[in-house]
Amino acid sequence: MFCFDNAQHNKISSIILLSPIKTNPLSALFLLIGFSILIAGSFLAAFLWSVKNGQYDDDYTPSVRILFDDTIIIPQKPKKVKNILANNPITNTENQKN
Amino acid sequence: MMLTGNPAINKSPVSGKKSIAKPICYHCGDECQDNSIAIEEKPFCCNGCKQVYMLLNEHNLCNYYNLDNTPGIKAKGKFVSDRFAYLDDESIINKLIQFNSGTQVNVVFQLPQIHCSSCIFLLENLHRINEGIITSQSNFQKKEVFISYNPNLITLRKVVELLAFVGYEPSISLQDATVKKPVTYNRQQIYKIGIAGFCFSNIMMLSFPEYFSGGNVGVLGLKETFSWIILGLSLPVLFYSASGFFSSAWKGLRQNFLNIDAPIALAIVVTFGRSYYEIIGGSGAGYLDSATGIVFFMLIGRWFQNKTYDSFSFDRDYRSYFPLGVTVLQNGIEKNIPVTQLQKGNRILLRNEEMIPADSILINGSASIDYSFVSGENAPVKKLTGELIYAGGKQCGSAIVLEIIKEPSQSYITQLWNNDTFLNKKNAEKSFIHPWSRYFTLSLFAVAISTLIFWWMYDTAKILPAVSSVLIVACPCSLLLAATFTYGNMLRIYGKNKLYLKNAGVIESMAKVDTIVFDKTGTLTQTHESQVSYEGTPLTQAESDAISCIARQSSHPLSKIIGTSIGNRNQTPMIVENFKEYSGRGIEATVDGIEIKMGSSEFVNQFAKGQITYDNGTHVHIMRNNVHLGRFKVSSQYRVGLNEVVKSLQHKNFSLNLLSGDNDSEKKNLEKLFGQDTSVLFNQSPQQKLDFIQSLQQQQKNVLMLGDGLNDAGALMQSNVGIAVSDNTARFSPACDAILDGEKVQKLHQFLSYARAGKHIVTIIFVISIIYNIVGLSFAVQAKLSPMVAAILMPVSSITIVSLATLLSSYSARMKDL
Repeated sequence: MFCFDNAQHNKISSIILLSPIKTNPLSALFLLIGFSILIAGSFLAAFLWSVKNGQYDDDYTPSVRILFDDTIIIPQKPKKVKNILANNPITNTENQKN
Repeated sequence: MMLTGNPAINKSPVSGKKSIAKPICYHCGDECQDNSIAIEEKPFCCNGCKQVYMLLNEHNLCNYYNLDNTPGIKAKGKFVSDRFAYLDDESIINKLIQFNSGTQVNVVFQLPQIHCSSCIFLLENLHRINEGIITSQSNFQKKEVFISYNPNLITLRKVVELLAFVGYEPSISLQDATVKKPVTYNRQQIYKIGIAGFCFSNIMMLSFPEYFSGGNVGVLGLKETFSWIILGLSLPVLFYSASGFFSSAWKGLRQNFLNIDAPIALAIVVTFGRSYYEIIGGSGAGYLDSATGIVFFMLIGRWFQNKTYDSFSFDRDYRSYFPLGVTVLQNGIEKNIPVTQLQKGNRILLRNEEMIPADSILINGSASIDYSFVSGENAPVKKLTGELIYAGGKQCGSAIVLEIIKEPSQSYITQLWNNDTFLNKKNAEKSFIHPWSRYFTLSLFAVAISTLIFWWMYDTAKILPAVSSVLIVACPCSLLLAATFTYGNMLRIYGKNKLYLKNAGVIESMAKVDTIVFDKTGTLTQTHESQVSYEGTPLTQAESDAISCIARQSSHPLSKIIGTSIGNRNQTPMIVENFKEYSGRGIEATVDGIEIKMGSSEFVNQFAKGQITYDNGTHVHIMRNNVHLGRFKVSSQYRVGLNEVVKSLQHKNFSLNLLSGDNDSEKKNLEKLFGQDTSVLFNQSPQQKLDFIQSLQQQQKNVLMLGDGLNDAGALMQSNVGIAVSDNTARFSPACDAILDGEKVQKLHQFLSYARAGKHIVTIIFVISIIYNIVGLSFAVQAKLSPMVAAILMPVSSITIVSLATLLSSYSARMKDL
């Protein structure tokens, strides 16, 4: 590239492209390149967002989590929840203390 | 013999009739004694496991048992209610939590017990057990759980108690309170790779017209536009992605050390500089495609090598397993204070399973101290009132009262950390790739200068293009790639074999090792496997069955060991009558008319009137009808395959040494194992172990130390490579360079020879990369390096190097049976 000869090539291209850029048959390229970089850039942005969102912090647990079946939760009264813990000598510390 | 007063024991005269195949606990998978504890035909080994099951069943969380077979963690029996009382202390809470809004508190706990998908399921459904928990999320690899709870509905203490109850007791240590762990992940590296990859691929695409047209892009304005876009895209790579190389090179230069990043930084600067010069001046297209590609590859190499084992901690000091809070007795009133506020003269109350935070004197109670954290010895040591008790032990048995005589940081075991070895962090071993890169840089400059002189004489216009091409093409990045990918792959292979290295530098240190120092207890012996031998009047079958039966009723470690070792698996359960437990001393019972007393010498002497004289603490004496029959000796068992390891290490001319904190009772066995040439030292204090390593190093030896307990921490730190041996890698290990699973000690010689092979592999690849460099340079010195040639040569060399590094290191591992 430090020793190439531009002259000959320019001649050929000037024959093909007589007219200025306006009617350049490849002028659509400029637009398309712009779009392609824009689209690629949006993917990059999405990637950066996902990293920032912590999606790359843990690459194992989510793969397990997704396999858990949704079990049907039978609605329970909050009182009952407390009672179970209270009746349990092991979780309830006050009971044991007394 | 000391026995914990466990109420669950006394109640159970074994009453089963048939027990051919013993049932397996539905919760934890342990063998059950019998079918007496069961719900809906699901057997449980203990009430603890049953209660956990009941709790989960109550909340429709039984999916826990479907995800994995018997996933549960054995409930630890008696749950001391005040164990976590220190978590009610406001100042401790504030140190542990991350965020508090009044209605929501966020906290992260380390749960070393996490081992399967069931664990994740249970931990992420805690909100169904207690409505105070808002959400919980686990991280399997880090073995952590993030919990946010409503402090108005549940306290931190209750959260921890709930976790402990279902089997996941968080490890909360003094370190959590003193050092705030940064929760940031290494996201910077991923950002850098992402951006470099994006810019590289787009630049590559935009460079295609340039390649295919041979430098003459026909369309008017297209070339310029593309060049400017490329220039724009390269800026983030230069200023953001590659910034690590510059800062590292600069750091090295400031310390008068030419590391491998220095020539890389130089190559990056020259390549980008010349490309910008060409693009701005309109004289060419530059080499930005290859330049960004190289940065991208090198970043991937670094990332590949820097994979760390998140769940392991290699830098633990005593603070990471000392308790956070302690119960102090003030005028007879119990009060919880943080350990850091503990002062000389304080009286503390220590319950079962609690750790002694500072050197102290026993005031009250029967102390049976388990020093397995410190020495690796599993048999508890008995202490009398008025005796000095060193920090680091755990009390097994009923509560005791202690008076503190030294502050926690000044204790016998912790003062090791005041030693200079711990103040000066172990220097990062200067990798052998750095001297290589120095030679490389020197010869590169030699080539560049001769190119300059040559073109100065023949064609001055070509000086700049030729010299800069030399610097561009001869980038030492291939050296870096060879090392990062080889070592990165080796780290993974070691990890598969359960040797977890702190970083890749350890491999190079391992390759240099010529002297190996073993610690005896816990390293050569198995912590949880014991050998039981019996001395005295031979026991009849009926007697040994009876002893086994009685011993199984107790939860004391020694009686458990005896119970399982002499017990016959298919033994018919017998009826135990008149069972009496003398907490901390012994047990007595009658089985089938045989009246047995077993326990410590003092216990048995009460009845035998001084029949027993010799005792060293790990003996259990047996009496039948008040006649002394004999004693069981519980001693540690040597690891399987030890003989072969020692033989092959000696065969390879490693000099072996053995240090033991114990007395020399095992001297004969060890000499048989190691032969006469090995120096074996007994009764070594932690400081003496450290000094021994130091004296070896003064003889210019590269020492590898294998140890396990806290008492080896100094020696592990001082040695060139410190490997902590652990039977349970989730448990505890002192600061070290690597953690080795106890079962794999027998592979030590393979590990070491693999480390040496790794060095050879890197050298081979260096040679190959130098051939590439010579090809590239032959273009460059002639000033004929077109972007096209560079764009082909650089990726091809990178890809060959990466694949060679991976293939050779995997092949070598297979050859060494790793």
